Amino acid sequence: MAASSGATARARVNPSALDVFTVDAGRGGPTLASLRELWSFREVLSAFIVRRVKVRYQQALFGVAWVVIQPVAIALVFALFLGRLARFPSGGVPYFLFVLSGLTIWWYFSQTMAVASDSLVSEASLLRKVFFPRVIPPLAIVVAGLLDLLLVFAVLLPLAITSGKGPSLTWLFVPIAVLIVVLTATGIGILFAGINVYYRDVSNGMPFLLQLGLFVSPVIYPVTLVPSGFRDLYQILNPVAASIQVLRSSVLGGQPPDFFVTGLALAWSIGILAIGYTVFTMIERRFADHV
Amino acid sequence: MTAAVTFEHVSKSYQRGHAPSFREDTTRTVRRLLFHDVPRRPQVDALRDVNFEIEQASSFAVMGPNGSGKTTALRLISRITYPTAGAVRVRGRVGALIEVGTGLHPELTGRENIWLYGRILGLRGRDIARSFDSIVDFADIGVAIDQPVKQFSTGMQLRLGFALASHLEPDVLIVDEAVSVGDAGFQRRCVQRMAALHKSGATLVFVSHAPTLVASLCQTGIRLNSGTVEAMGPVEEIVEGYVAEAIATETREETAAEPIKVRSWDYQFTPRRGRYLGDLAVQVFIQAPTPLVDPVFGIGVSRPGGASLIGCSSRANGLSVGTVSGNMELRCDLEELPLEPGDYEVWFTAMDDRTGRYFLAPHPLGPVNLGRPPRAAAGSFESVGTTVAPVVVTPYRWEVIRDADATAAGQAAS
Repeated sequence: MAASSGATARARVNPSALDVFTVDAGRGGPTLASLRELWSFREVLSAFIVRRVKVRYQQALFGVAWVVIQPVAIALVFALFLGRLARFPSGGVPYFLFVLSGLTIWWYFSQTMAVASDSLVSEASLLRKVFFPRVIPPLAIVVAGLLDLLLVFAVLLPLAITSGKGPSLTWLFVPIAVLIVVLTATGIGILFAGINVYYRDVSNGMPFLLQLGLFVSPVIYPVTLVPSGFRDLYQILNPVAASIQVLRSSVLGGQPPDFFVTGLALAWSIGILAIGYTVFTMIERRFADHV
Repeated sequence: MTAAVTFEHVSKSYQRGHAPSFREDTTRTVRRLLFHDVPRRPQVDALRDVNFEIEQASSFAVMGPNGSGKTTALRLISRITYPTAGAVRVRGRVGALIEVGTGLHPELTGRENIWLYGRILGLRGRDIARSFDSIVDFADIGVAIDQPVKQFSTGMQLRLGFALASHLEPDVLIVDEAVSVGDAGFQRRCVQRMAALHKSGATLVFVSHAPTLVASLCQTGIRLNSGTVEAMGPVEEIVEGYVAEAIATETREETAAEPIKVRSWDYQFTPRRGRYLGDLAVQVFIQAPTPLVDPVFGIGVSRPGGASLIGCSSRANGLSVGTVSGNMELRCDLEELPLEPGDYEVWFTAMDDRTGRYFLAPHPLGPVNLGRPPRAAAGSFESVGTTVAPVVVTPYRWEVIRDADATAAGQAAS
């Protein structure tokens, strides 16, 4: 019989050699074992990532183009109103290019936040039925979003070259910018996804927070607009600002980023991830009871 | 012997009521800290200090009425939820044969869902590659495999989800009522699959309400009731106890839940001279322990143990009784019954006019005799081997239109 062939095909190991897992009344927390387990569930993570990408690119008529059209269209609007009419400063770079570079990072961050914070609630039926590390759904959103980011880069970088910001060695710092924003997005994304299971207020507050974030980050204005006394602290505490600044200085400015500020911002983004993961592991045990 | 699953003093309580809001929780916390007067959110105990062991490679039944904690126990084993106190120890990989059709993504094809959901359920890529055809066979979806799942019928979706879950090769296999999904052929495949996995060394944990299936698949088990272990041992004892408990509960519920009881009843039959019709008066003495608003009563006559012939509704009669509480005596006069004399039954019912639900389902009060059937009753004909016994009478008149000779003559002429 076809159905039973699978069961008999696998040779069973000695029963007493199997790992024993204890489900206890502890508080949970960020243990090394939880990270090891996440690694052992990497196939599940990849399935979530693939599914996200497939659904995102198959469903829409424009598919891939859609991902690029949105930030570019918004950059054009900003360029017209803020660049042309309001004459916002852009540090000697064409304003469109300037704002598109900021939007590249911001678009990835805000899209990821919006989807990741709902990622556990929308998988409620799975959470109630199947075990996998609960951090996987928001994590998959953060990773799958990198494809979108790559596509926007595929528009930004050729545009930079055509306006004379030729490829230089400083472009090698771009991965640093990406790393900072990914770490920050992961930390905040999993934190919000977790809290959202208990308080749906997160879903309601998200659009507001993201609009606020657009103005708190140097997307439409240069970081030089921030008073010089606070400028470094501002970039360190808001890693998205540091990420945008690294991208602008390396691609548009042809200069390496400020190592001191960038290093501390990177450290803080790791700190955000650590805080997010710690809180997440402490509240994830009751997800299935609440979702 | 090694234990595959061990429950050590396991308790699990859930918070009762609606989902918390941030505002409500904050207010509660602040008031508790400041005034110490707000109780914590009320809790429901799903399991209370539960202890048991499931032996490696055995097949184990978990039985009990709804709400007894069966599903919570399974969720603890599969790490979906965590205990409030105590610990559950599980040896090896756990796989659940559960209904996961709702987890499939509607926009993706059957094939894509097999690869993606298979992995999410815990199948490894190489397992899926090896048993892909078997999964498609099991789900019986055939050529639909490359269509989006949203175009699948509900049955196909359920079967696909279940086929994926059933191809897990866990050390501990959990089955929660899933066998009730799909048609008989599909159910048979599920049971075969469970038996095959068990035979290959997996521990089987089976939750079901079906006593015969449990008895045929399991060796030992426990019976839960209100979150505690009521019995533990050989499956025959568990099933027996479960069935006895279910019957006892049913009887208790029937007697407790009836809003109206008939204390006593009586009838008078007054035959009318010259006709077969008579008058029947039925009195019912009822008791309603709790107040009932505007009940509708029904009294009727049926053949003994058979079809109802007459029904009289108090609503059709325009009788409004208001709120009934305590004892009440009712009387219904049925005049000029169009029935042959004989033995009949009287039934009674009461229902809620607003919801249409029965306060008391129609049930016979007892036999009534509506006159002794005459030796050669007008409507009774006995012939060789057959008896015609009409029930209903109606005024009638016989006459001869043409006599026999005339008919014969007419036929001969044509």
